[in-house]
Amino acid sequence: MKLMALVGLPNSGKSAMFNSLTGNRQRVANFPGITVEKKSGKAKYRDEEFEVLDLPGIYTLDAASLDEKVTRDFVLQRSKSSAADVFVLVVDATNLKKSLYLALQIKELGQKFVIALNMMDLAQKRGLELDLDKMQEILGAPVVATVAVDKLGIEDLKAKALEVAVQDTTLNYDVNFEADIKKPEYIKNKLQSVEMILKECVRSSIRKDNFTESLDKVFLHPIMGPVVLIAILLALFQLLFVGADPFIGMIEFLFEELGAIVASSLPDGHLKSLLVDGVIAGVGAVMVFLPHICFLFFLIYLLEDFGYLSRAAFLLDYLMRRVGLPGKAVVPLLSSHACAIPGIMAARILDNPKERWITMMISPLTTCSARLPVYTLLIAAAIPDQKIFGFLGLPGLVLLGLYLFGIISAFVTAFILRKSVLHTSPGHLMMEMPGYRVPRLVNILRGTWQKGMIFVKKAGTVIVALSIVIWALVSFPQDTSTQEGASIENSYAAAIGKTFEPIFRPLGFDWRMTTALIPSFGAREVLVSSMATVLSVESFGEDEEQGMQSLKSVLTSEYSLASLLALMVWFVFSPQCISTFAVLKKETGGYKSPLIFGSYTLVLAWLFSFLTYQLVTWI
Amino acid sequence: MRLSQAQDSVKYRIKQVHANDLASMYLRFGLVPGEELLIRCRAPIFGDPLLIETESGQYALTKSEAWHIEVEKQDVAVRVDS
Repeated sequence: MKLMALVGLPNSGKSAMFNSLTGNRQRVANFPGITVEKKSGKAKYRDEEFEVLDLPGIYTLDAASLDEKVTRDFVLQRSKSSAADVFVLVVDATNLKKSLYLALQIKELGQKFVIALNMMDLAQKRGLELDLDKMQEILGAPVVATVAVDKLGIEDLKAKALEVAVQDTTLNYDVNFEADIKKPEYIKNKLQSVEMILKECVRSSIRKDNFTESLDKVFLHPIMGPVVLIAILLALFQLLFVGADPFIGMIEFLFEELGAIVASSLPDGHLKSLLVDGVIAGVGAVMVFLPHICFLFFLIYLLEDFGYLSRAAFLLDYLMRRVGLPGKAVVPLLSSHACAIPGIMAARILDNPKERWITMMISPLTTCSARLPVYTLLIAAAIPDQKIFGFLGLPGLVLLGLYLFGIISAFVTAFILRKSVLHTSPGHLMMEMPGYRVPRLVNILRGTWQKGMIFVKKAGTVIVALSIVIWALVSFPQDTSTQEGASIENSYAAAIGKTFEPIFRPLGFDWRMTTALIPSFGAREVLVSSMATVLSVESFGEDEEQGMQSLKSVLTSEYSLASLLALMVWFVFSPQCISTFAVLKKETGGYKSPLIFGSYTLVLAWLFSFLTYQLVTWI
Repeated sequence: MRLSQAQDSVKYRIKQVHANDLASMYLRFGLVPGEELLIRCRAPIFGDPLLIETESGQYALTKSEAWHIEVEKQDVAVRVDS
């Protein structure tokens, strides 16, 4: 089997080429030790099989980012993975100039490569005439015309790649290479060579991309631009919030049914409890995130493929930069209002690793949908249903306040992180604005599917394991004195709750509250039912409406206004749910970031709940 | 003149690119001395960032990034740097 590595500039159609070459035989993983995505797959040509590797996009071998270094090391054969037998340089035929710089560098190194002159249909449409033979002669490598999205020229490309792959070569690489390619003389020299090749090989100039120009007249219009942007962001949020809901309900229903079936077919005992309340509930807790993740990534890929994501980044850049984040960070932050899990995953659209890290760290501070049932209950118990100025409902205002509190704390944290921990200057914007094009549904669906599967495989295992730990804490030790078996009051969870009570007393929490918080680490909304359990609200679980009413009145009579408000504020910051930790670990590739996240949010949660409790008590 | 002070829809030629650490960034985008460019539009409301157009494509950059690019009106003769 021959190893074929795809290199090329971002937006050169490399992903489309990869899809055309490998079809559905793809694997997505990370490069060893880092969180750069590694896509590989298999392609066949006659009797020969290729292992195809899609390397991150680069402009020059003078690599700047982590992604680019992966590609550079691969081309320089310094990577620990096996060396490629042949490189395929994917070149956007409509934008030859920029790719030629990289082509010349690869040639200079003596690396074996084939050039795929991609998007040839567009180039011809725009009146570009390219002399492939001449180019082949100057660059010393086969040049194949392709249209990757339509699978044109792919067989030819594979044939040429095979020819090159069996040749021998020695790299013309010396230790000064990296320093040399930074020198102005080197750069000047290469640019002159690029101009020379263009003069020799390209006839007639590019006709304007009218499609892009006329769309930009709307999307970047002084008034229409922002209006369309807000409409698109609102639609995205609505689809995420409302559209995913039925699917979530369906998944919850399925796992409840499955749990019921297993429960009825097994004898009572530890095994049944483990399977139903631990394993099945845990797997259900993983699956429940899939609708949000799939909806969000489908929409992100759609906007990205169409070319709008760069425009949104352009329009929002100034505003977001005031808090030290790039414009694109709006997408993960907005998504986090539905759920932080897809939000954290969506931070991958940010190129700068530091900005991406900050965005992942602050995303969970925004008010996710799992906090809503908690807020609703606590507001109902604590806030009288009064009208202010005769028409503004006080409960609604408190809820709005909690949302704003989440957003503001996220922004303030971002600002502080930027200034203190990372002390970086405002990041770069400088990006290419790709032309618009018709989105290709197959590629978008494939990408969405891969995102979902990675989540289930990578974060899923951690979530299930932690769910089982929580189940054990709540269900053991078993109380043998009653027929009921396990009950939370005598469990390890309650023991932990009682142990930590002194720390939480200044916040106005008693041991029942701290105990109820433990299962809510599985999912925040569980607090509602666990509060009902620790407060022994009898009718809860039988009739939903009546249960909520009695839980509400028990809360009102048992706790002061200050305690309930402090608990609300706790939920603004507290590092709940374990899935957030699991996905942070997956996305950052280590335990450090989830630990930092957990500690800083715990400190903030304690501090602000303390302030709230003390302030309200004092008033 | 710096690109951040340039007018919209007028052709300029790049004289020099300042700031060492950014040099490679600019090179990636084909912004090198001698190249022609124009400001196609600015972001609504804030007027920042800028959308510029060169022969090789369209790029977005902030005003402070644009400050690092020294330009001159296209009708002025280009001085060739040694």
